[in-house]
Amino acid sequence: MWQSSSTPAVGAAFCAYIPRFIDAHPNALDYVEVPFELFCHDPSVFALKDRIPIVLHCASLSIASPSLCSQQTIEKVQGWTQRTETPWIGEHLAFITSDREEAGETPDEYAPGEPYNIGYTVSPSMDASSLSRICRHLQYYSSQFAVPILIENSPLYFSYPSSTMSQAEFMSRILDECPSGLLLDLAHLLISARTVGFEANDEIDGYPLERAAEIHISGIDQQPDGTWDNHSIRAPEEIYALLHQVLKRASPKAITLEYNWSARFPDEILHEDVARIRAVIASLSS
Amino acid sequence: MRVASGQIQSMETLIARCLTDPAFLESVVQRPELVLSKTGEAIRVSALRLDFRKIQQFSGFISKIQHNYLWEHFPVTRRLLWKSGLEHEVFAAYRAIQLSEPLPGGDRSARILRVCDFLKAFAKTSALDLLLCVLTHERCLWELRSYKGNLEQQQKPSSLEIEGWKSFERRIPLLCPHVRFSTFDCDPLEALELASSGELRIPAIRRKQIALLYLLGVCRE
Repeated sequence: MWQSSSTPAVGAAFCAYIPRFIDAHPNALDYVEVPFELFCHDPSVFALKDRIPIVLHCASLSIASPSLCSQQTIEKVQGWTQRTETPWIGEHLAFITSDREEAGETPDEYAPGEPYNIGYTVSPSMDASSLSRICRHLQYYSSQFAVPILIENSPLYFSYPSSTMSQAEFMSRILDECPSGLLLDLAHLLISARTVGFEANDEIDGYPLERAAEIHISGIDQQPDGTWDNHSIRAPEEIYALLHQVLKRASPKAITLEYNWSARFPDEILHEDVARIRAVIASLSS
Repeated sequence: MRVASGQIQSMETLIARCLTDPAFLESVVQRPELVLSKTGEAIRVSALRLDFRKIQQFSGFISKIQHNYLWEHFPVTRRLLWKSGLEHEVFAAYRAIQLSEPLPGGDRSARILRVCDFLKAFAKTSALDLLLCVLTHERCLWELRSYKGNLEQQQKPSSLEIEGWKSFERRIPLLCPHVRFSTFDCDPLEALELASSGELRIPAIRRKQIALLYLLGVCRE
C-alpha cells in the first residue's frame, strides 16, 4: 500500500472503539496506528493486523534523553517492527526518561529501574548540545531498525531559557544530519504557537516539510492556563487550514486522526473527519 | 522528602525530576534559589529562569491524561472540572498521591477509588458543592456498574437457617453489594442537568437531605 499510492493514506490511532468502528465502516480507514507501548501491555491488539495495516508509533526510544534507551527496549521495538510490518516508526522528538546514570542512591519508586520515568513525552531544550546528542542517538537508532524513524514535533508547554533555536530550525538541523523523516503533528504545532507566541501558519514553512511522511491531527483544549493536547475532542478548523497549507508543499504518505483518549469517541465524528481529510486531499490533487 | 538537586546535570534531568517528584517541584516553585543552589552553574543559571508554575500545570496535565480511563464513568465530574478551569490544578495536587504509593498495575478499580477519595476531599475543602454532589452520584453509579457479583444469587435469600436470638442479635445489617445509598443536600439529578448544560451553579439546597437508594437492576424474562 505504502509504495504504490501517490495520495496519502488516511488512518486513525488505536483506541478501544476502533475494532468496532472498522466493523461498522470496513473501508473508511486505510491503516491503524498503534503505540509500541500498547503492544507490550496488550499483545492481543496485534489481531488487528489480519484486518488492516498497522503503523507503529513509539515513545520508548526517548531520543532526547541524556542517554540511549536500554538494549532490551530496542530489541522489543525491533520485534514489533517486524511483526507489524510497519512502513516506519513514528517517535517523539522528546524524552520520557532521564537520567539512567543518575539513578544513584535514590531510584524513582514509580518505575523501578527507570529513574525519572515521566510517563509522558517532553520536548528537550533546543540548543547545540541537545542537537548533537539527539543526532547521535537518532543515527544509532536508525542503524538498529529495518525501517526509517520519523521524528514528531512535541508540543511546547513551557519555554526553556536555554533554547537557542525554534523548533522548526531544530528539526530541520536534525533532519539535515540524520536519515529520518518528519511526523508533523498539527495540534502540537498549534499548542506550541500559542505557548511560545508565534503564528503557526507563518512558522510552518520553516519545518522541513519535504521530509514529512506522516501528519497527525487531533483536538486541542483552550483553558485559562494554556492550550493543551486533547485527543478526545474533534480537531478545530485551524488544524484543517494548516493541513491544507502543508499539503500544498508536502507529500506525506499518511494522515492519522488521533482520537484515542476516549473509548466513547463518537464513530460518526471519526467517520466525518476521515471523509473531510480525503476531501482536502482530493481538492489539492484535482 | 528529598529535595537536594546536587545530582542534576542537565535541563532534561531537572525537568524529569520536577515531573516525577512533586515535593521537589513544589519546593523549587517556592524557593528556587535555595533548592537549586548546589546544581552546576550552567544548569542553575538557566533553571532559575524557568517558569516552574507552568511546569507544575504540565505535571497536572500529565496526571490528568494518565487518568483518561476515569472519564467514561465520570463524564459530568470531568465537565465540571474542565468548566471551572481546575483540571490541572487538581491533578497537579493529586500527582503526589499518584506517584507515592504504586498500586498493582491492573487494579484500575483501586485507582479510581483513590482518585474519587481525593476529589471528594478536594471538593469539600474547596467548598465546591456542585462538584461534590455530582461526584458522589457518579461514584454510586460507577460502583454499581462495576459490581461483578452474581445478581441472581443476591436476589434470592440463601437457605433459611434456624438461629438462636443471641447469635441473631449480634448480626450487623449491611446493604447488599449491588445496592448503594447516599444522601445529598441538593438534588443530584438536577445538579447533573445543570452541570451537563455548562452551568456551575448549585441547585437549591433542600431543608431536608435527599436520600437516594441505587439498585442495580436485573432483567428478567
